[in-house]
Formats: sequence, C-alpha cells, structure tokens
Amino acid sequence: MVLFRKVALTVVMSIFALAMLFPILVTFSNSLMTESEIDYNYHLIGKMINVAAGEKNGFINLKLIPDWVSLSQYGEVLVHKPLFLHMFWNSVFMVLPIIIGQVVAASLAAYAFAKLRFWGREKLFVVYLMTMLMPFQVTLVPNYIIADKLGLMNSTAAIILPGIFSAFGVFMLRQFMLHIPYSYLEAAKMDGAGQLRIFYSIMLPLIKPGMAALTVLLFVDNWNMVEQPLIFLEDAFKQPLSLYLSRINEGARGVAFAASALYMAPMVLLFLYAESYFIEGIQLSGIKG
Amino acid sequence: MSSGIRLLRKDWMAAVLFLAPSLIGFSVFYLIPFATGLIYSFQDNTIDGTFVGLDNYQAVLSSGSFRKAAANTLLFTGVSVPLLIALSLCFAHLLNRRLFIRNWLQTAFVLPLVVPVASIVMMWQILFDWNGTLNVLLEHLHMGRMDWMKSEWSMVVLAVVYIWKNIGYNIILFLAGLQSIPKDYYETADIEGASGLHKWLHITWVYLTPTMFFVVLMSIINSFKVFRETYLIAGDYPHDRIYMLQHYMNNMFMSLNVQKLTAAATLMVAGILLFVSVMLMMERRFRSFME
Amino acid sequence: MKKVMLMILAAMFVLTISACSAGTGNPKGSAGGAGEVKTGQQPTDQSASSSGQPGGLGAPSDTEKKTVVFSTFFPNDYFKEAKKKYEAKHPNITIDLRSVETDDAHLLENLEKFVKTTGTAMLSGQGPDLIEMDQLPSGDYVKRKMLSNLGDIMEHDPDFIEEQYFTNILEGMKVNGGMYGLPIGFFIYGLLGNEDAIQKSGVTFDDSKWNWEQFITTAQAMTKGADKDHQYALGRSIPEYMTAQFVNERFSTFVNQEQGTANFVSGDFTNLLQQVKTLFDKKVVGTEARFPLFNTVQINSPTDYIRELRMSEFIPGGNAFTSKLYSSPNADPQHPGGSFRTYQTIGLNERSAVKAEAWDFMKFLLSDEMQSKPDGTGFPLNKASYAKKAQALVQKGSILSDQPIGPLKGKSFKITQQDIDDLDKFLKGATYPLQFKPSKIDEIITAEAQAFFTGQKSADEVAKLIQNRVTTYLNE
Repeated sequence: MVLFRKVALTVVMSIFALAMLFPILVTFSNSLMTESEIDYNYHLIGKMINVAAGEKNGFINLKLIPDWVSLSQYGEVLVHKPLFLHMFWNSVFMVLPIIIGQVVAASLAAYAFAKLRFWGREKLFVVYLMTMLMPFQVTLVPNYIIADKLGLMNSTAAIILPGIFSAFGVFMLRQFMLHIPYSYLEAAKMDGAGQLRIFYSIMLPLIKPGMAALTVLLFVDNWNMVEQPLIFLEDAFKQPLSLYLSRINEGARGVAFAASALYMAPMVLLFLYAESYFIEGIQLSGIKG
Repeated sequence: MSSGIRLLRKDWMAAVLFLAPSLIGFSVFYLIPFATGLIYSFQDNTIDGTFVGLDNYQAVLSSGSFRKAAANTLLFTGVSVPLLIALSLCFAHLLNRRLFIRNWLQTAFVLPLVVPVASIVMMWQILFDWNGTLNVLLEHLHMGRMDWMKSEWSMVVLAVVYIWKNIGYNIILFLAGLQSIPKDYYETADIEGASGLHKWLHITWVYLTPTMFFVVLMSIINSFKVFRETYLIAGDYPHDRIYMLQHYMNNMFMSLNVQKLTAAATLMVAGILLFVSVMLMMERRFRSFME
Repeated sequence: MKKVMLMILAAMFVLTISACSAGTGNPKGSAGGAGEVKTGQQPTDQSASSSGQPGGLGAPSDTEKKTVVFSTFFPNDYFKEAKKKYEAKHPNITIDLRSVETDDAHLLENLEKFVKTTGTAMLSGQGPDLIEMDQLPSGDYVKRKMLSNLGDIMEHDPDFIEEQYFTNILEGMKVNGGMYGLPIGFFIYGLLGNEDAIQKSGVTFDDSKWNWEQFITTAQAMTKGADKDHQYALGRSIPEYMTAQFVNERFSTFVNQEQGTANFVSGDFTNLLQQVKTLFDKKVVGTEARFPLFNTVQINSPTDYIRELRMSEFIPGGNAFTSKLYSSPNADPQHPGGSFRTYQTIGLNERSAVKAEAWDFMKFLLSDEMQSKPDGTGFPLNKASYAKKAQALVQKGSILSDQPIGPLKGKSFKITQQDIDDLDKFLKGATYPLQFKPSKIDEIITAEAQAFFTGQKSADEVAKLIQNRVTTYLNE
C-alpha cells in the first residue's frame, strides 16, 4: 500500500514535471536542428500571411524531433561567436563575487535583525524592505549619479557592489533565523560565548538550508540580470551573457536555442548540487547536545 | 535590572558591528537612491528641481491610463500571487515526501527559473502567436484563430507564464523553510499522538510564517518582473488588459518623465507597504511566540 | 507606521544634501582637472537663464585644454574626419567621439541600450556635450529642457550667417519657435511623375498644396482608360502606411489629444480602411505596379536625383517616358510644399560645460570645408557646398548608372543646368519636416491595420484594437 502510494505520487508528479519541462525540452531538442530547419519551422512568427491576395494560410511548425541531428548550432555559437564565451565568463566573474559578498554581508546583518535587540530594529528592517519594492527605473538616475561619483562607470564594480548589498539576502536569512529559538542562543551565552561566536558556530549551521536556497536564488537572479549592465557597462566586452540573450532578433533565431541551452547549463549543475541541502534538513537536538 | 540593561547595551554594540558592512553598502546603493527617488516625486526636475508639492501625484492620479494600469496590476497580482503560492506550497509538500527520482523531479520544477528571456519569448511566440501552436488546435476544433495577446485572454497567458517561471523559486524557499522546522517538534507531536492535520496546522503552518512572509513579498516583486517578457512580446502599448504599472512607469522613463515615474512608483510602494505592515504584525505574533 | 515614516523623512533630509550636490555634476569627460570644473560650470549657470539675455556663448577658448564629448549611435567616418581636422586646428580641444559598436544581430538591444543610457545620463545632469538625436526621442528632450536652443545661439553669433544654409530646412525644424538641433544633411521626398502621361491627360493640378485624397482623385482622373501596365496612379506604397497617412490627414476626426479620446471604433475609420483597401484592390495603388503614373521617391543627393529622373527614359520595349519630380501630398496647411527628413541631427546639451567649444565644433561640421566632401550622406545643409557639388555634376555633363545588371547597366545619364535648377526649387521649397521615427499612433495603426489588409482580421476587429491601444497612449 505504501509502495503503491509512492508509485502513484511519483507518476502524478512526473506528469506535472513534464509540463514544466516542456519549453526546456523544446529548447534542447531544437538546439540540435540546423539553422535552416529552425528558419523553416519558425519563419511565420509575427507574420501575417496575405490571404486576401490568395496566399495559403499557414502555421508555425513546433517540432520536438529534428530532421537531422546536428551540432552545427553549438559549433556556430562556440566557435564563430567568440563574444559568446567571453560574455559567459563575464557572467561568472560577476555572479560569484556577488554571491560570496552578499552571503557574508547579509548573514551578519540578518543575524542582527533576527536575534539582536536594538532600538529601531523593526523600522530599519522596513526601510530595507521598501528599497526592494522600488522599481529600478526610479533608482536608475540616482544610481547613475552615485556610480559616476564613485568612479564606477563602465566597470563591473558598478554591478557587483550593488549586487552584494541588496536587501534580498538580509531579508531572506532573517526569515530563516527567526525559526531558531532564543533559548539555543542564550544557552551558549551563559557559557560565555560572544555574539560572533554564537553566530558562527551555532546560527550558521542551523540555517544551512536557507543559505543553500540563498545561493541558488542569488545565482539565478544575477545570472539573469539585464537592466543594470545595460546602463552601467558601456563596453560590449564587459557585458554578461544575459544581455546576449535578452532579445532574439529574427536574424539570430538560428542559433538561439543552442545559445540558450549553454546559458542554462551552469545553473542546472548548481541545482543538482545544491538540492541535497534542501532535503537534508536540520535537527536541533543534535546540536544542542 | 542593571544586568538586563547592560545586556541590552551589549546587544546594541554587537548589532552595530553586525549591521555595519551591510548598512554602509546598502545606504550608498539603495537608501540614497530610494530617498532621491522620493524627493524627485515632489519636484519638477531631476536637476535643480523646485518643490511642487503634490502636483506630480495629482498628474499621475488624473491619468486614465495610470488608473487602468493600477487596476490591472491589482487584479493580476491579487489572483496570480495567491495561486502561485498555493501551487508551490502544495508541490513543495509533495516533493518533500518519499518519491522515486525525487532529485530529478525537484530539478524539473526549478528549471524554468534558468530559462533566458530570449527563449521564453521564443516559446511564447511559438505557442501564442497568430500563427502559433495554440491556434493550430483551435483551427482543428473549427473555432477560428485567436489573437491571444490582444484579447481578454492575454492576462491569463501572462499568469500562466508567471506561474510557470516562478513556481520553482517558491518551491526552493518552501523546501528550505520546511527543512528548517526542527524534526524534534514532529517527533514530540507523534509521541502525543497528534493527527496529520493537527501537526500541519500547529507545527508546519506556524513555523512557516517567516518563510511565508518572504515568499509572499518575493512573489509580488517577481510578478512585476514578467514585464520584461511582456514588453518584448507586446511592446510598450499592449492590449489594455495587460497594460500594467510597469508599462506605465517604463513609458514614463522612456519619455524622460521622471516626475510622473517617481510619483507612480511611490504610490505603488505605499500600496504594497500597507500589505507588508499586516504581514509584519502576523510575524510579530510568531516572534513573541518563539521568544 | 508613523514612526517609520518619520524615520524615512529624517533619512531623506540627510541624504538630500548628498543627492542634490550630486545633481549639479559636470558632464563626464568635459574637464580634465578639478580647476577646470569651476571655470566650466559658469557658462552652464548663465545659460540656464539665458533665453532673453543678450550675448551668445562667446568665443571658444584657444588656450585652455577642453574636451567635447560627442555621442552618436553608429560610428561615422564624416565625424571621425571632422574630429581629426578640428583637433589639428585647435590643439587645445579634444573631440571625444563615442559610438556604439554593434552588429546586425544585436542592433535592437544596442539601440535600447543607447536610448536608455543617454536618457539616464541626461536626467542625471551629465551626458555628452553633443548628441546625435536621430535615434532618440528628441521631442521629450526638448520638453525637459535638456537641449540648448540653437536659435538663440545662432542669433547671437555673428560668425553664423543663416543665409549660408538652407533656411527653409532650419525654419521647418523649429519647435514652438525654438531650434534644438542642426542636421548634417537632409533628404527630400516627392512623387516622381510620368510627365508624358500627365501632359497627355490634360489634367491640371497644384502639387504645392494637395493632400492624399486630392492626389488620388487627380491621379485617377489622369489614369482613366489606361492599359493594365499603366493603370496604377501610385507605386511603391503599402496599404498600412497609406492608412496612417489618411488618418493624419483628418487627425482631429480620430484623435482628441486634449480629452484623451480616440474615435477609431467608428464608421469613419472602417470606411477609411475599406477605402484604402479599394484603392489597392482596384489597382489604383500598389507595390506590384509596373509603370505607375507616380512613384514615391526619397532623394539623397544631386546624383541620386538625376538617376531617379533619367532612369525611365531607358526602359526598353517602347515603355520609356520622361519623368518629373512633384511634391508629396501632405496634410499640414502650415507647411505647404515638399517634405524633407533631416539626417544626423545634432543637439547641444543644455548643461554642457564646454558649450562655446561644442558650438564651434558644430559650426565646423557644417562648414564648407567639411560639407563639400563627396562622401557625406544626404544634401548638405551648407548651400555653398551643395552648389559646388551640383556645379561639378553639370560640368561633368553625365553620370553612369549604378545598376550592375539589367537594361540600365552601363548607361550614362545626361545632366543639364535645367535639371539642377529644378532640383534647386525643390530643395528650397521643402518645408514639411517628416519625423525621423514614426509617431506612436502611426506605429500602432500600421501594425494593426496589416491584419486587415492581409485578410486575417475584419475591419471592426482591427478598429477595436487600434482604439484600445491608442486610448492607453493618449491617457498616460
């Protein structure tokens, strides 16, 4: 009976998973088509066939299985478009410092917001939240002025520094730290541990799932970032990969699928790796003893 | 008593140290721009502007398109955010159970997060274009074509894309949240012979409060981010069913009207803030319960 | 909640100081050292209130080191050469040319980037000193007072003699009496008519003030009874654009800008769609016309004019005819006469710290020395340079066809003084400015109307969609 339920649930979830995966399957399978096949299948996107002039009406041809399996798209992207790989590494070197910086700065601040008592704690927290709600267009002009004052224009620091200090990580880790009862921390305090020690050796291990989630979501958000680099990086050679795939012009459709597949690869690997942290869970008693 | 005060003071000192790195960067890159944006909304120019009181707000509120955008946004967020949260919570629970190939299933739900804008737009066109796959189906059923993005259905399409894209985001958060609930609580409840529903209501639901707060707010923020895809599909003046505040604000930005842009944004932030304060109140109850 | 607001207000107060002082920055790159920043800022402050003030910008400095930042979307050889020559003459001044590197595949996102970055920089009180406005929403820049009124500057600059330039173009570019950009060149638009057929028909008309409706009636009268190849009144036109042109002709019927209402869901508009469709169905207008009575043309240079004009005389098979250029119909009674479109229009940043130098460079761009170069695109704004180019052509007597294949290959076209005189009249009579980019309403109309003309949607459906989208635009 238990086994039956497990099988049934797995089947049901697999169906949902397939539906979720559909666009990604299309991307991967289409990335194995030749450019001319892509063009033949999708040239009617955004077009109106002139039926008034007697032409035959047609449709876009969505296909999952290529006529010929070909790696020509990948070859085109990786070999003939040197900018692609260059921008790929730009993305990596932009995202990694942001993740590391934000995890450090945010976990410290989150601890203060979650577990330390000080005047104005709630109010300051609301201020943090408010900045997350403001649309980027509003803060663009002041940010531009600040970046210019600090001499950050056209430097990746103009992307990385704001990335590190966004309120996102503080908010998220604070929420996870709220779970931890005060009694655990107080016990350590009685033993004479300082706050930094409590933070480091008690709090951090307890919020591992939250840290893993933060890392993954930071990666996703920053890997996909479009607007900031568009304004602050004048130089095409400094731009991240997300800008390469921020639009598909008709002419570039032929390699778009392979480019997208390559774009997704690092994040897929990260997911598979980080997943174990969500499943592991925590056991308070283990640490307490 | 005196030791209590000392403890509090020590806390305060520690708080400053813990906060300092984040707060400095946060002030420079977020707080100052935010405050500047607020100030712009009361001025007539970004450079050497003079104070014009509530004129910009009046201009925004008297714009029919702004009101339409606000109503659309409220409708879209009001329906699709709860739907998204319910679905992702449900899936997170199911994925948290014993399943075959659980790792792969989880990855499948999370993957839409990583699809680049360009691919989403391509897929969107393939499905919902005038010559798209959905219209092939309609034609087969002899129902005639439909211009999906220029009809009342456009918002439904938007909701589907939004939920598809963001469900993984929330599943990650909920899974992490569920794992953060110490197993000891459930074990204790098991010993006391509590029912499944009782455990869910009194342990899971309660301990998920902080995560829920975060998920709700992030879902709202992410619901604004579908704008990029919508913009690429339907342009700056789409069918008025999907003309959202993001369109209004983006158009104001493109025509360099920072006054209306900032006033509209401030109104929007104020609206969400009302909602946030309700959630903060709920959280405070949870907190006092924990302390 | 109240306390939160108080705290924010307090924070704002402190931050205002830093934010405001940040707002009065210098355009980037305009000054090399801290000392120069101060000298640079003075002209800015003056010009902020200078509209009625006598005196222009003064002479450009010839000792101080200054940098003028000039931003364009496409890199351009004309500007590169101008920079080289200007810097040689003024060793203390550097022209910092900036443009976007782009390939075709990324043109759209690079354009988005250029528009957004320039807008943000200008709103921050920075931005380049000189900007090529072709790809930018220049109307919005003018509305936000980001560009200097060049009309004022010209008036106070004794070196700038308006009569040396095509004054009709300068006049046509004015917005509410002010002038906010100077073009390097311009194109003219017109209808190239089959003069033989027009003469034969005996129909008379006045092309200096006709609109599209009148044009169609006149042309139809002239093509009456013509054979299949000659029955078209107009070639090279597509129905969507024709629709937009017709709407603009009776703009107030369809759009009330003050009240923010549109009137597209109406018999008026569906009739208009039907009317345009009939024109194409009945083969009065069409792209597939072989020998239409008129063809729309864009003329880029004197050579281009001769080629367009003479081409028809070489059509084989007894179909040759002589052509003549006429004014395009236009709806604006304020600007009777021909249409033109400016090219590489340059604006001067109102907050530039090196206005005098930037203006001097602009004048250099329009000087005969630069404008008489053969490789510039469009007609030069400088009359003397144009006259030189035209005279050179007349002296040469003929030009070769640029067609590499077909019946026109290797043919040479004769040029007479009469041709140049005709062209002169056109250049001086062009007063109706076409915008570099179509308006939002035009964009919406052409995009939606296509579905009707291709037979995919009914006129009512299309009318509803246009109504829906235009209303949103009008009410922002």
